[in-house]
Amino acid sequence: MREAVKRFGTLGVAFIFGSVAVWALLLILIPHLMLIDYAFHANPGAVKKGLAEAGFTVYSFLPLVDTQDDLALRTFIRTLLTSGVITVLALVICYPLAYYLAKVATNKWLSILMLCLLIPYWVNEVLRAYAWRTLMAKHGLVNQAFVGLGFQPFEFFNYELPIIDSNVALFVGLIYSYVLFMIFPMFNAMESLDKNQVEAARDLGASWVRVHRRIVIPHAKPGIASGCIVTFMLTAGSYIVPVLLGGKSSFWFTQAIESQFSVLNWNGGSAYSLVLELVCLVFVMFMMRAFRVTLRDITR
Amino acid sequence: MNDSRTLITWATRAYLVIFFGYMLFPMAYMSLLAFNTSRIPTHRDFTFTLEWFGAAWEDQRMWGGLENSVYIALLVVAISITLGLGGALMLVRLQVRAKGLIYAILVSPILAPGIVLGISAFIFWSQQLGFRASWWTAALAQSSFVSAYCMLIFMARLQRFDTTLEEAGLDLGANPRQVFWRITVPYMRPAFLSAAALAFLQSFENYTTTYFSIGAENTFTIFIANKVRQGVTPAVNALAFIIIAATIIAAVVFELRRRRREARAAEAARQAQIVDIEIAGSLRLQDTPA
Repeated sequence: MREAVKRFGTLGVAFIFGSVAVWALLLILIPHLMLIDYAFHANPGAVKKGLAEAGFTVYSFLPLVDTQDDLALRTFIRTLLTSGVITVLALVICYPLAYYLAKVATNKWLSILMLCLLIPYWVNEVLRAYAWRTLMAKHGLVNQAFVGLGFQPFEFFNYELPIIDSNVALFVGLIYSYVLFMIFPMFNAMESLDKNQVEAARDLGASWVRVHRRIVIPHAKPGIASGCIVTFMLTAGSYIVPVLLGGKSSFWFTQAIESQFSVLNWNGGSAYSLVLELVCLVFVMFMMRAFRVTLRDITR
Repeated sequence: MNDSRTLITWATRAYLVIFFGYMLFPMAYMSLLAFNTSRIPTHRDFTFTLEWFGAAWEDQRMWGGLENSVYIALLVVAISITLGLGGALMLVRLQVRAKGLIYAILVSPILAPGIVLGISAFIFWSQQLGFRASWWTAALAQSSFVSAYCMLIFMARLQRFDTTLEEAGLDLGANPRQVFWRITVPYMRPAFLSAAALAFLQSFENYTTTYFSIGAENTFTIFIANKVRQGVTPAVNALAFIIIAATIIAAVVFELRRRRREARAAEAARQAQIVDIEIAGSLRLQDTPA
């Protein structure tokens, strides 16, 4: 510590410790502890009616395990399943593209294609969802094309996909909105791969599948893990995309949180938020284990 | 062999066309609809007009939201650069215990859903401490994760910093403050600029965290979302067109500047090489006995 004071001065060291303390405590830890505290208390209305105890209780979590009225539970499962499917799909869609951009494209094409990716990336998610809302409307362009080809108009907002139980419009819009967050981490990881390794393997007779399995994927692991984490987290935590594209059938878990807040049930909303966050935390841990990467690899 | 090569090339091309079509077509279509007279956004009966830009321009709530967005973004830039720099200096330059834990806490907001950040900030500042939720509580909520992005940028730059420069400054009699402002800050300048730009954009376009922590107030993004929720109007398309155009212009300017800088660096390197060769040449001339 004396070393640090000599280097940065007393004021400098005070600044470093002060800023980290303010950030960690006031912006992260204490608000979070408050959230946990709220989640483990029942809302005052329920306490007054005698439905719940005033002290520590799991009352606010109960709607999530209610099998009688399973709206919250179904919403939760739909959100997780859809987010998982979208993450896998985004990975499959983006892997070849990231490889192409990082190792195959010429410099000129790379900068043009990067610009093309940056446009939808910097246009915010509200407008990304809005664009699809007009495209997939009942008399929108996509349906016009369908009719032109001799098909019936398609109810994008009402047709639910099997198993994951989300409607088509929401599914397409979510992929569109968050697929970009898969490309950039993977691209960054693949860029540092020495192309000679790939060529050497090819010269020695390895098939393309083998080259990717043994060289490219191991090298890009941190990028893949980080892309999956961000995509899953953004999809599961997305709010405005389901609001604009979910229709009546595909209620999202964030909307369930919002509906708790709209009836001023802060405790219920906090409990749901905590569950969502816990799921994301478990997913991050799982990815770190599965890909054997550290937090530093992921945030790089 | 040659056939499979061609097949792969064509498959790649087809894939690129489909993917970029999927990415760009909705943006292009959304922009196009801003220029149609129809009261609902559609391409049918296309008659060119600029009236929707006028309608967007005259909306007072849009300007109110924009003003709030700028205030929030400026506050977020100030907070995030300060906190991000503090965090980066601690993690890269100081010998402290539990670095891994501190790092995990500070980057955790990046990995948490935006809605949770917004709600926990709202509960703490508004419900617990009793402040009215407004633009500055939204700025605090955003800062928790934007600071982490800034910190990662600063850490990357600090890790390549030659600390002997600071030591030299201290040895030559400068005090720590002078060393910080004269050596460390100028070295960090590019990182400050990119962190500030990133923080501003992140803040400006953020919806979820802001919406859940701002109470009843508006930002530009929230204004657009409300407009869309109330029922679609081409005025939103006009705003979308402006945002897309601004993005393209900014990206192109940035790319051109980067290229010019690279060309200049290459030219400087070439000049230096010529000088080197000349010096080497003249040295060799001197070496050769007459």
